[in-house]
Amino acid sequence: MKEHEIRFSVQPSSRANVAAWFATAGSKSESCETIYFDTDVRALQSAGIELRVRRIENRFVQMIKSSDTAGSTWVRQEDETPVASFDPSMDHLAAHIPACAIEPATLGPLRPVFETRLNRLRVRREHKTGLVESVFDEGHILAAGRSREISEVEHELRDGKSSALATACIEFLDRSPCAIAVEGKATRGYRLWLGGEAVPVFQKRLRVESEMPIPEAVYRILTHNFAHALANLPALADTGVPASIHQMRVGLRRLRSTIYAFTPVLATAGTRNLIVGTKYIFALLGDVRDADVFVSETLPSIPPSVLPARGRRLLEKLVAAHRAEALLRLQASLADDEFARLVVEIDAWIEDADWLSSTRPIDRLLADRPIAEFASSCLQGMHRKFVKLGRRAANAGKLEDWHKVRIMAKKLRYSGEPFLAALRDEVDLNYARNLGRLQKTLGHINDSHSVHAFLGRVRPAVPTRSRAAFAEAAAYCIGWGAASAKAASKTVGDGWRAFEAAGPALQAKS
Amino acid sequence: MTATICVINAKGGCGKTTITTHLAAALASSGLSTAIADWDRHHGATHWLSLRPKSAVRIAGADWRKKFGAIPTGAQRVIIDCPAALKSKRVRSVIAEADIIVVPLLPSVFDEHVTAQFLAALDDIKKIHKGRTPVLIVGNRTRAQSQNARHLHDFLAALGHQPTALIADRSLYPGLAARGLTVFDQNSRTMQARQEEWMPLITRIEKDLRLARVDTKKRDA
Repeated sequence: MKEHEIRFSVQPSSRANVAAWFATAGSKSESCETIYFDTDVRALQSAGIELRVRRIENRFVQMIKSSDTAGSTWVRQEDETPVASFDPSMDHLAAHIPACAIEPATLGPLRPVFETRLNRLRVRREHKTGLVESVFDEGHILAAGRSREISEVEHELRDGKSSALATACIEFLDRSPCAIAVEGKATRGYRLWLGGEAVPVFQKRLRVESEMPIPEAVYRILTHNFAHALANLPALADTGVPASIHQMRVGLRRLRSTIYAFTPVLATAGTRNLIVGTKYIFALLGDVRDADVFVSETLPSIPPSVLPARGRRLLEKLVAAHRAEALLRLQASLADDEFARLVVEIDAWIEDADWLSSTRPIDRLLADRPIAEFASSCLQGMHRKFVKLGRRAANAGKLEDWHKVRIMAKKLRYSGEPFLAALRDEVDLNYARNLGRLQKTLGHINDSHSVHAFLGRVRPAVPTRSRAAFAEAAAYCIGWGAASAKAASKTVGDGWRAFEAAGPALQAKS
Repeated sequence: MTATICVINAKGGCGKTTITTHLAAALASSGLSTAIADWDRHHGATHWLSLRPKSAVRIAGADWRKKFGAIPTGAQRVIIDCPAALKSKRVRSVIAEADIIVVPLLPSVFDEHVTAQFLAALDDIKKIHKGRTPVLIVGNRTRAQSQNARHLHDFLAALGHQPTALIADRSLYPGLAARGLTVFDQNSRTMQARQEEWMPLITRIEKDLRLARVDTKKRDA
């Protein structure tokens, strides 16, 4: 059975509001104790499966959850059965382990790995397009002698369309502003058991079959990219390590690129607010990312003969302070209920799947058209546009023109990757590699060129006593950046010509 | 992968070029890279392409009278406006290679007479005889529910066929053609009603191409 739920974390300041919301909705209270099982080598977790037995008052229920094939953050497969005690039913487990995930016979002995103890308020509400169950859980996760508090609300779609779940979530957020919570209890439980912090999540390869109909492929690609962006939220909130910033940014860029690539067949009227929202978060991520790139890539590229060690140390210190502020702004925005609303709305837009254009009779063909056919014409169109921009930049040699080429290269690469995967039987996949190489070169030029703008953003927060030293060090960097960008813009033309000579996107396999 | 659709009938004036241009515009506006291969000696489709405004969805053209067999790069669908003949060896080989044959037919005794002979001749081609290349018949200038439509159904049924679509005779077609357009280039309510008449043909073409592709993949596997 498909489970579709969205989760919010409840801060102490919102607790009373949330409790009041549940009380007015006529909620029932129950106490739950849940034990999660796995093998010593975490065979179930590795296979994307959760096994738990829950005692609700005097009843015991075993539940198995597994990842949805599209890898959605909020949609999973679940199955439950009554059991007599906390001992898990192996028959039930064997019957519901996805065939590709794990071989039940080879599974080692199971043991309890962590547990949760909760007081739960539960309410079901009928909405215009479906039935939604909401629960407010308060309690603890217990593992390996450690404990972590739980205070969260989950809204689960029991019947009907995803828009009903979105309505329930938005109504809830109107009354009780809360932050989105990506990780379920099991993920947090495993982390508590094993120790450690949330880590950045890199994108997994997405496989799109060439004969897959457009709607299914669009759903998979959108879901995959959205899940990738959200998966980095815990690491970003906990530590804000550079990779979590970069990966969340990549996920959001890929999501936007997907919408861009599919625009000819999408009804995009409903996506404007979502695009504006993601652009806002993207810009906040960009502020932190720029600082990371400056410290880890730009500064080390500047020779000591250009920037003395003292100036370098000062810039590192001031940029670190700038990053810390930018990270706080970002973390505050991601913990805000506005971001939670954005996530709810994007999820509803993806899950309701009403996004295929349907204004003309001819649009009916899209429902059955294989993705490879769409991908082929889409890539050709994007490649034509890219070549036009590239030739113009190669002739004029202006940095502004190369900037446009860089942006188009990103769009083409990020939206083109799943298309190229769908066309792998027909095309030479060197195209993606060549494009990646060109994008990297253009990225270096952009990093050098944007030193001036970046240090301009750092300057206002520089303490008065450091302003003169900062100005001197910044001037060295800006001069180096401008000279490097100018020199590189002269040579990037060769890179462009090599890319163009390597052939178009749909060069047939030899 | 390029799919070729031959629009052909031995009888002249049955609406081959109108069907060619409409198929091309419909498939192009659905997002496919589409080209017309103009093999007809009157060059009607090439002339129509020259009138086509830049704002309209792009359709590539190839003049097969000048350069036989040329297919624009990247074309996913090529609609061939064939000459009104089946005797030439070249025509027969193009038909044998095509993925789908579309035969326009007017509701007149003269057209029916020629078309009956033409369909019989088509059936001599191995791929068509074995049912590997679908032959789709379009009742041109024929309103559904009319006496002509009923007559056309009976005539084709006797030959073991049935019309895939019936396209009514409307005064807007000549006006659109004069501007390099088709009913698929405009989206008013009137045009949508006209587009619906073409949908059975276009849906069938796409379905047949999909099935053929699946068959090919199965064979290759």
